[in-house]
Amino acid sequence: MIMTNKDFISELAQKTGYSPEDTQKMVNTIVETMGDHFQNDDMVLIPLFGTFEVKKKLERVMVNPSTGQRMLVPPKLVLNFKPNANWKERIKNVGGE
Amino acid sequence: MGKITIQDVATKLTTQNGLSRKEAIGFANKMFDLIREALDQEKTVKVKGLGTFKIIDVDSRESVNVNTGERVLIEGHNKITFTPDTLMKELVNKPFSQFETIVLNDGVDFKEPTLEELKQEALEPDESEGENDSMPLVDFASEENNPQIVTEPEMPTESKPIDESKPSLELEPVNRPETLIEPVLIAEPEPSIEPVPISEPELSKEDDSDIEEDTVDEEDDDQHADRKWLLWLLACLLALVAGYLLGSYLPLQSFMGSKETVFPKEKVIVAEQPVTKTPQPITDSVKVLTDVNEVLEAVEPEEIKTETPKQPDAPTQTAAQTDSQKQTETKSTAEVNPDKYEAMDPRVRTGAYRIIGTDHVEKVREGDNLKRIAKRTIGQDMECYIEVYNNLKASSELKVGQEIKIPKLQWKKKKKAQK
Repeated sequence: MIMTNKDFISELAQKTGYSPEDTQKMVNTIVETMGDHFQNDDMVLIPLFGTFEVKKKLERVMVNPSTGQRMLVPPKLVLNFKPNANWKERIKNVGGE
Repeated sequence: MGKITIQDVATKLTTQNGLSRKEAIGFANKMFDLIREALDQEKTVKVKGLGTFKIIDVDSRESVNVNTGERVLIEGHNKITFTPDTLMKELVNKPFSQFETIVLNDGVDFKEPTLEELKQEALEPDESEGENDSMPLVDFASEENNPQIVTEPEMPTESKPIDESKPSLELEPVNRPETLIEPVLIAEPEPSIEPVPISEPELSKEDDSDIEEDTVDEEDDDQHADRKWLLWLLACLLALVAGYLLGSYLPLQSFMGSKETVFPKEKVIVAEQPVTKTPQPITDSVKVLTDVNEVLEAVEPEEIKTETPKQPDAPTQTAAQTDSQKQTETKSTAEVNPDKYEAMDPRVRTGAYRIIGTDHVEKVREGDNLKRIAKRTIGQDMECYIEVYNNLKASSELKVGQEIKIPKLQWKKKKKAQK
């Protein structure tokens, strides 16, 4: 059920015709580039796939329910992924019933 | 904050991996297509450096239509989730990585202190702008104190930072006894007569209250321990009010204190001024009376404006007072738009006060500069308000006799404090 990075690379290599090593390198390049954009607060739009976006979460107070201890959780930047609407709808219905 | 498409990402492939543009775009598209296809079949895809895509089942649940209040059943469905890789997560969060989760101690009212601290941070940089050497120390002390103290009523917070930076206070033990009662007094009146257009009253009022406030600070150190718990219990609500008030009042107060020691000369000079002027005590007391009346008549009687920006030392105060009386007090409290001035100067925007009108007009004297005018009128380090209000620069040359409008200030936090 789980496609690991290794599976993913080898399958992608097969599809594109590059060697797995090259494929991994190119995937890394893409991921790094995306990472650079995330650091600039940029959104990355991928057609038919979805949108990656960095969102800021405000600081908040968290309570550990078992001990009742309160913690101040700092603000953070989180990477968010929003799938393409069509795809999302399709997935939704596939497993819906 | 731009939008980047897959093409932009693919461009990097051409430079770094030697692909043609077409190949690069094709590769990138295939990569995401594969993720999508794999997700459709396998439910989980891991990509190193990016993260994990997963399809999860969402159980059906009942919900309520927020518009109609109708109960709705949301059917179970599948959902795509994305969990960023640790590496990617850290990369994205890099700007905030210095923050750590803090364990809060029991009994600490965390909400107020955090707000306070934020406010103080906002206040301090602009108010100290310039030359306060002793400030860092005071800042630190006050900020440290805040978390525990804010929930207690007023004075404790003030006492510590001021004692550190203000040895000169010790010279006024005479005033101490009267001020024992003061904590209560100060707490009550502070919220101030906001809607009522007080033009002059502030000046005369402050004369009394300022001296008292100064000395109260030390006094309270002693009382502090005893009162602490009692007040804690009694005055939760009061504490909130006082906390807010102190939040922006505190830094100011400590500036006054530190300056006092730094510029003893100015003090002397200012103190001499009353002699040359002809004070008009009668009008003064009349004003106090009318002011008191106003307060009584006001629907919400608790409000007296002790929180105005000026809390300089007593001599300066009297000087300022007599000055302002001598000068033809044009008290046109015509409403002005505070936002306009806030837009003009970040110091005003982030400061604790807003300009609500003209208090009076001050004539420039020999050897005056904006700093000094601010000190004897609205308070030390408050020159930014005068600057924006008169459209002057800090460096502007002033001519003797030139008329400077002194803005009337209102404490921004008042509304909140009132509740």
